[in-house]
Order: sequence, then structure tokens, then C-alpha cells
Amino acid sequence: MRDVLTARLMNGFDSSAQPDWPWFETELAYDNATLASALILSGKATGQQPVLERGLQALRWLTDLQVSEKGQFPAHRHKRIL
Amino acid sequence: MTDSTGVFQHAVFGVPNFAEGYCTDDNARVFVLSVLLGELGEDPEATRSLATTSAAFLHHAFDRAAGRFHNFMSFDRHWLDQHGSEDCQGRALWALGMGVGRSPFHNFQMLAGELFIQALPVLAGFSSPRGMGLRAAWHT
Repeated sequence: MRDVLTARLMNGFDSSAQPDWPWFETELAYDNATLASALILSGKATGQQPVLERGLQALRWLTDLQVSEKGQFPAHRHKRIL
Repeated sequence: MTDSTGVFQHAVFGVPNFAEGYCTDDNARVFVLSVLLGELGEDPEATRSLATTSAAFLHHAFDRAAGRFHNFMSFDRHWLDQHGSEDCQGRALWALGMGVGRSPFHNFQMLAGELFIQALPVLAGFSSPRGMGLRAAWHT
């Protein structure tokens, strides 16, 4: 089951990610970091380096974009400008 | 913010708002928090009590026939939905995974393990990335 869900997340990322929007969906809702977290944990647990790398890439991008000066993620939405 | 049923969903200026009742989403979060606070050694008695309350809520929220969790409960303890969202199922599984993998207490490990196994199969039909995302890491 973990493999199935991980593959789905990887596919979701690949189908919606753009060079300037390396993310799983076309908008950021809430609890976003959990998606990156799932890939990071799954990649580490199964030794799948590409999965781990994708998770870290997504988390770095999200952190740059969304973490406030207080070091917290926001609870609001963030739509991609197309 | 928590009574013998569970943590309240919403508050008015920090005071529980009974009209909004309880939800599985928030009780799952409370269970996760209680495990983490336990790891930090915070007030063990209060932390374990919180874990018991939230675990009982999760157990009651699970509909075995459907393999799904209810989410919203009224203040008079009636379920308000047929079953919760995909995100809710994922969030409950996240909490259960914490119970199995990180709770030091045998009773929470056993309860969480039993529920986890029964609540996992429906994820195969899920499409919400959070519903699957929160938990992909936890099962072995």
C-alpha cells in the first residue's frame, strides 16, 4: 500500500509541477508540508532516493515561499498565478 | 478545550463553542500531540489522559462496516455525517500510525494497530493527495 500511495504522490507531482511551481497541486491549500513530508519519510523508509529527493525539493520550495518571519507555515491558501 | 468525549472543534475567544461539537480531524491531532508531548516528558498523567480520550474518540468514530471514519459529532454525541472526507481518513490513519509506532503504551499500540489495519484498505480508492499523503510513510 505504501508503494501504491507513494507512486500516486509522485505521479501527482510530475503531472502538476512546473519549473516555477514544483508542487503536487496547482494551488496550495493547508497542511501542505505533509505532502512533502510523506515523500521524505517514504523515500527514507524504502531507500528510494528519487522519492526522498523529490520530497526535499518540494519542501525547500514551500519553505522559501510560505514560512513567515516567525518560522511558521500559514493556514491560508495560495493560488498559483497562471 | 477537551471534555470526556474529546477536544472541541471550535472556540469563542478560547472558550469551547458547544454548538460546533467535536470532530475526528481534531481528535486525531490531539492524539498525535499527546504522543509527542509524552516523548518530551510533559506532565505524563495529563498527557496520557489526553491520549486516552482522543484514542477513544477515534475508536468510536470508526465505522467497521464501511472501513471509514465519521468526522463531525454534535455536542449531544450524535454523528452528523455518513462518513468523513478522504483527508479525515488520512488524518486518522496518521494518528493511528503514531500510536503503533511511537506510543510507549501497549494499550494504544494494540488499539491503534487494530484500527489501522481495518482503516487502511479504503485508501486504495482515494484521490485526494492529503488523504494519501499524510500516511504513505507510516505503514510497513
